[in-house]
Amino acid sequence: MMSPRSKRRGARGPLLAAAAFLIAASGPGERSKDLQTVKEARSVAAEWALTNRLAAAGRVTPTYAEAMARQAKRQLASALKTVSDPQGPAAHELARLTRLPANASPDVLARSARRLLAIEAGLEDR
Amino acid sequence: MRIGEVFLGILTAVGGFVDISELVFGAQAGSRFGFALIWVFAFATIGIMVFGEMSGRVAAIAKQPVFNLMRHRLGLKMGLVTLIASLASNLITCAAEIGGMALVLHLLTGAPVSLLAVASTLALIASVWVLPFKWIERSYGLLGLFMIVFAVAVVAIHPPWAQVASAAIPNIPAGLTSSELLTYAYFVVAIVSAVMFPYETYFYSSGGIEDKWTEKDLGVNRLTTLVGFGLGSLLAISILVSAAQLFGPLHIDPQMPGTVALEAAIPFGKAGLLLALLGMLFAISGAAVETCLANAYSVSQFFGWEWGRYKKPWEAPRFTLAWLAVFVTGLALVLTGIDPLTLVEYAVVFSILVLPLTYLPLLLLAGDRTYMHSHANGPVAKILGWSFYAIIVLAALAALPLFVMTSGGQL
Repeated sequence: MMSPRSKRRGARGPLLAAAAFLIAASGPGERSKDLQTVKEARSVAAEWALTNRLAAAGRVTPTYAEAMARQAKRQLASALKTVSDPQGPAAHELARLTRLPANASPDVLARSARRLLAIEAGLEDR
Repeated sequence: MRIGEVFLGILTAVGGFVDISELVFGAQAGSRFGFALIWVFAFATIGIMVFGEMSGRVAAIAKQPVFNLMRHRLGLKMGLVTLIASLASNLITCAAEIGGMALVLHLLTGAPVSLLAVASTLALIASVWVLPFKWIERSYGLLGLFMIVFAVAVVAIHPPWAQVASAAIPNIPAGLTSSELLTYAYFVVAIVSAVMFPYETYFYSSGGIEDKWTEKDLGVNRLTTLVGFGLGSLLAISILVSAAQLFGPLHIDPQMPGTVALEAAIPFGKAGLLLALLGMLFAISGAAVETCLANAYSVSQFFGWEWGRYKKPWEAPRFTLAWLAVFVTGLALVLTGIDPLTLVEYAVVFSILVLPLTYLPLLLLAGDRTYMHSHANGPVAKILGWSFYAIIVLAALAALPLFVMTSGGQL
């Protein structure tokens, strides 16, 4: 026969599971998900811009610059699939970025990163 | 005490201190919060020094590795829970390291990432199979010293040293919104977890037994943990400081591990980039080996199997199968295409949940005079040990809610 103490211990399992479920369910909503996507994309665009600026100055190897660009484009394409409004400004900016060549001008990339930063600020204010 | 041995041990600890999670969280912490999180690295480093020294001392005097203790001190059921959680945490970390290796090699060679992940895993397996324990530890640790380029890079970019130094005192930056405060708290917990990963004590204490440490090695143990971990932590802090100076103003919160190497490319050009990438490659490879062996040690010690790299692989067949299985499963996880940074986030959260269970039996045994005789924890070790333990428990309780509320620190 179970002692009251072991019964209490036994009851903790479902309680913990319920707590974990509640925490998970209280996770970010659609707006937060968009905010997270735009934040990450803004950084990726800025990272790509910095890489290309250093590549243009001969401070990184071409292999490194190309690999970073490929990775950036892959992450931006994945972000484009994640945004909730495919016609919204974030989606437009992400689509524009994914169409750029690997050796895109660092100024163009930096401007895109700044536009994403503005979109991010709008989402934060909402 | 042979000075050469001590020096090599310290260098190995320095080169082996940083892994992919410290690279990622160090850089992101700096770019998002400036120098404000330096104190967390300093604080957690004292924690890993305390528990690292304790685990080495227990290995030298009581000849007990961490998982052996766990089963005896926590009992079979609780020990098994800890074992499963640790195995999961180490496996995810190992997969993140293999993925990180493949990404760094991709930046060096341009070859396909999946092919490089397979090649990296085969290279890791070959090195663990062929090299004796001491040389596994030393090869990766010493090659990881390429990471010193990050410390030199910080000096070259002339950060405001007074501000850097003042950030070593616990602080919360002014003017943060409530959501930024939560993210700051998440970073505090994540950095504590990344610096105090449980695999480090499993590996370190098992390594002490592999190296047949005795009472005579207590001095080496103390120097390695204090000086080696301390200097290693400076590398992690360098990454944070450079990120604060170079990435923060450009609104970069590194989302690609390769971006961290730019910290050396900006001051030193291609040579800096190559040194940084090589340092990252070897530091991450070393961590992959440590996490993998930590799992094989844990499971073998828990079930009482033959274990140790001082034996030929076929002399400890279940131990050998265990580490081979970890590498292969880690590779399989990477080949699913999951982002290594996502794996890092999961590994960090999982690890902090495991930490209290890992360190409790260690604290109890290190303070037990029956096993440790005159080398049991003294008042300083007791106070530090139990204070850090209380903080780890708090961090473990906060980790999951913070992870969910901040989307893994991305909000």
